[in-house]
Amino acid sequence: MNFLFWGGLAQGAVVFAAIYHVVEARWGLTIRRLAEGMAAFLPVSFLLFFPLYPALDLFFGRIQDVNPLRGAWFDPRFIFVRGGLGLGAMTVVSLLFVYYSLRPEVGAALERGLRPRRWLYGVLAQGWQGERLEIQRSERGMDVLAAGVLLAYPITYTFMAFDLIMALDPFWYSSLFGVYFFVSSFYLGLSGLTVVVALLARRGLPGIASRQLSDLGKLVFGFTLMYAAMVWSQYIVIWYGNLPEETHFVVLRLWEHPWAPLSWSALAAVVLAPFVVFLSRRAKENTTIMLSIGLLISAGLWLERYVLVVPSLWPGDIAPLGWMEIGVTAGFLGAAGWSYGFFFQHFPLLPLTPSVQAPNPAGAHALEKTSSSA
Amino acid sequence: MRRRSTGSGSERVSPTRTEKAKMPERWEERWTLPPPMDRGLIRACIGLSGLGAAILLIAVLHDPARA
Repeated sequence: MNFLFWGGLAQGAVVFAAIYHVVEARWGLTIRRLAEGMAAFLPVSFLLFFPLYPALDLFFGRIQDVNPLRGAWFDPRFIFVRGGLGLGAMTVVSLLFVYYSLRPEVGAALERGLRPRRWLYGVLAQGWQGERLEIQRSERGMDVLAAGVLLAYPITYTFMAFDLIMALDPFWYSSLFGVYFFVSSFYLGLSGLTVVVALLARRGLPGIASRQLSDLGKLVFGFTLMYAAMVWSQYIVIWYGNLPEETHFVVLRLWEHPWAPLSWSALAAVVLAPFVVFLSRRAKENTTIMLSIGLLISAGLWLERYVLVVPSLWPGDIAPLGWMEIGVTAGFLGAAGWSYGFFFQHFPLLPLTPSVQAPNPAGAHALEKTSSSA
Repeated sequence: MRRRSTGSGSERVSPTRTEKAKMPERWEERWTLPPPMDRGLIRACIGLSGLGAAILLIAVLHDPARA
């Protein structure tokens, strides 16, 4: 459950950076780099997928006994192999995208002696061919890889939703669930980004003012509605079909003890509160409110992941929500924080690309004009 | 002062609001910005992840459904 939450958060943020590049946005260059930084957690997340195998083997073995008709597609080894391959490909494409974003500024910094030639910088700037050429090459690489990220993301996350959440219930299936999951993971990435941006805006990070906060708030507001639409689309089809093998999944989570209070709390935190608060323009420009709403959505989506996964595995009358769950979540938070901190110990907060920001005074002037007119 | 359309009329936007969003003038200065997390915070994160890993191990051995 924590694997789905923290991996989804990091991947959602990288998808935001890819969309930002594809649409040639200019409204928040600093925010783009903050999103790219979350890619540092992706290798950790990929490694954390492997210890899941014993659990998959245990649970899917039991489910196969309950419903033997599911066949070879849900064989734990097959799930593990296709999940590992998909997640590995997604991680590689995302890291390459961030590599092309970082390479010109690392190479230029080494060329000017701004940074010592450490192994990491050496690897990133290997075969350096000069600033102008590298910036062009980097932009071409980012064009291709951003498209790759945006194509691979829905496919990989659809399979993850089917294999790691939906398949935990022996009888439930929904073809829409994959879309629901990758949209909610993107929303999660945005909420995590809102928390980071609001925290850094309070510390006066250049490139983030009330305008950038407001734009990010509008995006979060839009995805609040998008998420609500996904929940509704999922619900209406199941309710309209009224088929017992589909309704039991929803009834268990929304109407039965002990899961119902958790599900409704998650829905209030993820949809209701941000919708009401972000109707106000001033709220979107206030760092405290942005921080609170970002944290609330993140907590709500953690609860949502919990409610999606745990009821399929836990037969007890009391929801298992104690020190173990909190401790494991804290561990993932630590790992995500450590990888994020590592990234920004080594790379600048403000990006050099796109090429309107050529590393000379004229380029810097062009950037200012761009950011103030965005 | 600039004017921005808001749909229900227009609203005056103080120049200082965009002024604050300015990037450092020289590209080199971007490398000198302090990182968002200091070393103490990163060490705390490493400690937290170690603690989480220990709890995860206990959870796996004690009750895999809760891990």
